[in-house]
Amino acid sequence: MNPGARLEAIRRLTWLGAALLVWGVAILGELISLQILHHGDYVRQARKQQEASVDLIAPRGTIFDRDNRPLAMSEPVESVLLNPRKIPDKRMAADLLGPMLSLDADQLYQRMLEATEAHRGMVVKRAISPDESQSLHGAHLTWIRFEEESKRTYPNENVASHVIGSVYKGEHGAEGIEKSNDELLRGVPGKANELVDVQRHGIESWVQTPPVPGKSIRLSIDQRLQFITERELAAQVVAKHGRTGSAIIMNPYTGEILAFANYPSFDPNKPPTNDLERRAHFNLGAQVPFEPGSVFKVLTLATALETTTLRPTSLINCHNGILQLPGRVIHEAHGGFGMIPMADVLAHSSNIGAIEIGAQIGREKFYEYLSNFGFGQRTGSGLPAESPGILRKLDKWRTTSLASVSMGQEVAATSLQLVRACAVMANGGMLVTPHVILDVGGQPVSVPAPRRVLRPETTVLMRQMMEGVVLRGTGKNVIKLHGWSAGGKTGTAQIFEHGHYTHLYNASFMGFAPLNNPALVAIVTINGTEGNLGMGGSVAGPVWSTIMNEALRLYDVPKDVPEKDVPQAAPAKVDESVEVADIEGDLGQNVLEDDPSVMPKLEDIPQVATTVGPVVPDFRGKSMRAVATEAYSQGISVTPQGSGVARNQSPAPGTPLHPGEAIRVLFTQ
Amino acid sequence: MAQRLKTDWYLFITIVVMVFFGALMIFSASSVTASFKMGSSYYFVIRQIFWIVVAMGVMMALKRTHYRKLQHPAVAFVGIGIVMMMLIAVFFVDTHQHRWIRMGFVGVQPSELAKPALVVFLAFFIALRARAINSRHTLFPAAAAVLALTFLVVVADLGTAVVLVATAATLFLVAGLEWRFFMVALLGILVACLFAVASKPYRLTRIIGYVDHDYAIVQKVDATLHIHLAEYLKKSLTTKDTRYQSDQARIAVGSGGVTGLGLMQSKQKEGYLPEPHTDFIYAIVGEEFGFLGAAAVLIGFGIILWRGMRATVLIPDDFGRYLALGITTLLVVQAFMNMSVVLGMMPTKGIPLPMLSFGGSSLLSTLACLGILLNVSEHAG
Repeated sequence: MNPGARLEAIRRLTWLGAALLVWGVAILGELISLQILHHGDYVRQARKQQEASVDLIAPRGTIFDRDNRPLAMSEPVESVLLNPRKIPDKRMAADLLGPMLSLDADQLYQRMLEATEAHRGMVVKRAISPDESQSLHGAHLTWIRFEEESKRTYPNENVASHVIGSVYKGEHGAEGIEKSNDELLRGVPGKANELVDVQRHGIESWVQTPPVPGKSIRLSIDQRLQFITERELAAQVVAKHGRTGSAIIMNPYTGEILAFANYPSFDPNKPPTNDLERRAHFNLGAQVPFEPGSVFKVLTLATALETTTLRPTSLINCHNGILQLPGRVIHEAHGGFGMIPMADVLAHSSNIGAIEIGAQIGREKFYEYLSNFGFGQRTGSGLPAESPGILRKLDKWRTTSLASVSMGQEVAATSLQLVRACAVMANGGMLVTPHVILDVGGQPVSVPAPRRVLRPETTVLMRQMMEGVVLRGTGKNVIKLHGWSAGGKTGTAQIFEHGHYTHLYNASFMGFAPLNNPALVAIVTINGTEGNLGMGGSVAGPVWSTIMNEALRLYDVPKDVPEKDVPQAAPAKVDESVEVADIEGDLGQNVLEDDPSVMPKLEDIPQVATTVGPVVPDFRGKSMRAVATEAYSQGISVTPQGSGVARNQSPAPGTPLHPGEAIRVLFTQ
Repeated sequence: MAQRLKTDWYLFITIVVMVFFGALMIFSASSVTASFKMGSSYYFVIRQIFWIVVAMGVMMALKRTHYRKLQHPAVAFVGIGIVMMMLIAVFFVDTHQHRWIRMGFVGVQPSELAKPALVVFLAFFIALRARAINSRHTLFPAAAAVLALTFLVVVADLGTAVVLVATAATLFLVAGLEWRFFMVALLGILVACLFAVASKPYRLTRIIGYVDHDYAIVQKVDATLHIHLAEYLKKSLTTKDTRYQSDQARIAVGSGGVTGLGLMQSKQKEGYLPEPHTDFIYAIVGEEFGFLGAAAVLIGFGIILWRGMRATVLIPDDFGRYLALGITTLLVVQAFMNMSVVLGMMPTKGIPLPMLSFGGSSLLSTLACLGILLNVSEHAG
């Protein structure tokens, strides 16, 4: 190599080396820029894609009965989700998952296809069982995702279901305490940051804010008593061919409700699927007002004692069973009564007597007292959708309204309102607030202080007169307590339905025991009984007796009368037929028609959406071209036969369309 | 009896350290994907260790073989001939990618083996024709050989082809090629690039995506072209976002900071960064060992550049000089190109980082080259 060429080679080599060196320095500069100067930016970008924020579910608060027995609790369960677009072979995935989760593989496959169409992920199954969870986790399927949820369970099933209520998906309170105290029970979900891989599968996580569990609630309900009440009520409704029923046991001094039963009841673990099942969710005792009938006479007499000079011994003219009112005649069975003491008006439940007494009170005073007793207003029990009942404003009262209200018509009240009014007699004149919640999260709940509505002397007289009902009146022989005295009032009200009064009764009994210093007050109402054996005393009385006996025994209430061994003979004839007001003449609008809003609405009961699949369209009467167009637009395959206009098709219109099924359409000219 | 030569310890230790550091990084980067896709987190690292054993053996053998024994027409022509035949064979064997010849457990990428073969051939040929480098009797055969090889490589692997052409150009440049020939060659390369792009249009979208990410310029040129481009991208089998890999690599490197997140602590390897153990392993180095680790790897290649240049200057004979220069250029250009791609300084190209990336053929060819370089460096004193 000549020196010139060698020099040139060295020079070119130097240039080359320098170029590579510059390149290296450029790389170093880029490293400095990325890793030192803009480090923060890239850390932020990395965080943004690598970390996901996840909600930590807060366990929903437990609902206990008064003795801390759990009535509703939440347990963590897993749900299975997947994105069908990430599944290589949907058919195989469906065949694999179906048996594991006891789902129909074909249906699952269809759902996957639908979700693929709609570009969305899908929930394969909510709240899978621990067994299913284990086998799925063991299968290491990369295309499914688990989501932890919490599932509400009601270990006692139907017991106290109307009070507790239920939740629907996502653990939102739907009814009862679950609804009215949803915010307290729900708690606050926490937040965690999670390191995720590119498929959004979590790798590790750390808690940012821990979840705050929902508060637990202790109810005043006594589960044992509740169970007995429900059992007895249901048995009697069925035995007497009634339709519905409700029963409430309450502490008359505090307003704590110990048992609140309705028939029919429901299992809050299972969401309702049809309207009939939804109807069973109504808390009849608090949500459905009815014309109370004779039990209302207690209030008529109590008001009379307060506002008039009438005493229990004052004689009342019962007009021998026939009373002519303007546009209306009141009859009483068996010739009625002549002049009888006021106590007997109550004991034998004379409607004419009650009307006479009411007339002495006067409408203004009577209205004032009924308002004081809380009629026409919600009791404030805290149960959702409570009905205020109907007490017509004075200016709406017609000429015979005073008479009607005196015997419990033209007024609508719930069992809850009635038992509260009865508690006024029992506790010496105080109007309490019925309630079911004792404490929330360990803190006692404050209840409005009782309000005096009657003088104590009045209630003493009332209790004596109400004992008369049990001893010698309409409650005789049916109210049988083993060692306790009792007072109460029967009621048998004709049911107004579909625009007229039917021959069905609302049979009720409300009362308290023991007589002096009553420990408990209770009401039993059974709707839809018929005939002489469907009267308040003989229908509601036995249930009342049984549940009262059990309650008094459970709470160790001292016995105050010698225990009589009552022979279990056929019930003696009960003279209560007089208490049914024989309703004649045009009464004008029924009170229950006044305001539909006092009745519960079916729409308030959430229903499980029954999956409505595609249905077979109606092709009949259409031309072949129209049929083909419609079928094509809906993705349905049609097998045409004949020509002309579609006359018949199989399967019939409106039937569920199975995927891939072809519809045969018969065309004729 | 030849005197016992002093090993180039700078070079030797750098190579060994980088190869084993590479194995460690392969384990770290691949363990997630490996356990997910292959069922064992050791899947890739075990294969790499096997190849390290083989390739180290080849390197030690070549280190002990006097480089002048390679200066023989048989070696030069047989080497490049075998590689060319393999390249032709692979075109038909691997109908999809034209990259792999699989023989049971091992797979070989002939395009990788083309690197040492071409360097040895060019060193032999240029040394032979050193006095008449600008004669057409030198240029046409050399150009024919380089073009033939490049053409065969470019079908599958544009990155490697670029490296080969750059190496060949460097050798001829230093050998005294006149600038006008160089310009002609440059023109030829340009035309070749156009053909390469035309044969696999995804390369164009990669380049456009790199230069003009939001199609701002494209829209000025043609109002509807970008829609076609986007549609084409959607249909193409390659990644949807032409910048996705490069963006993810930058996030990895950038979030590493000065000291890095620590070994095995990379988060980008959880599926965010595609191919973290092969072409983008440098990003994981940057993420786990930070600036210090990334700069150390850069300095490692700097040492190879230094020792290679030193040997080039000091070696007395032409064959040794072009051998050393060719190998040095080949490896350093490939390494710098890989790093530039990872750091987003160049459009994405599938090219492994010598010694660090997973891949048996790449390791084998790299260490074979380095074995020769070690021997040349020993003779350079």
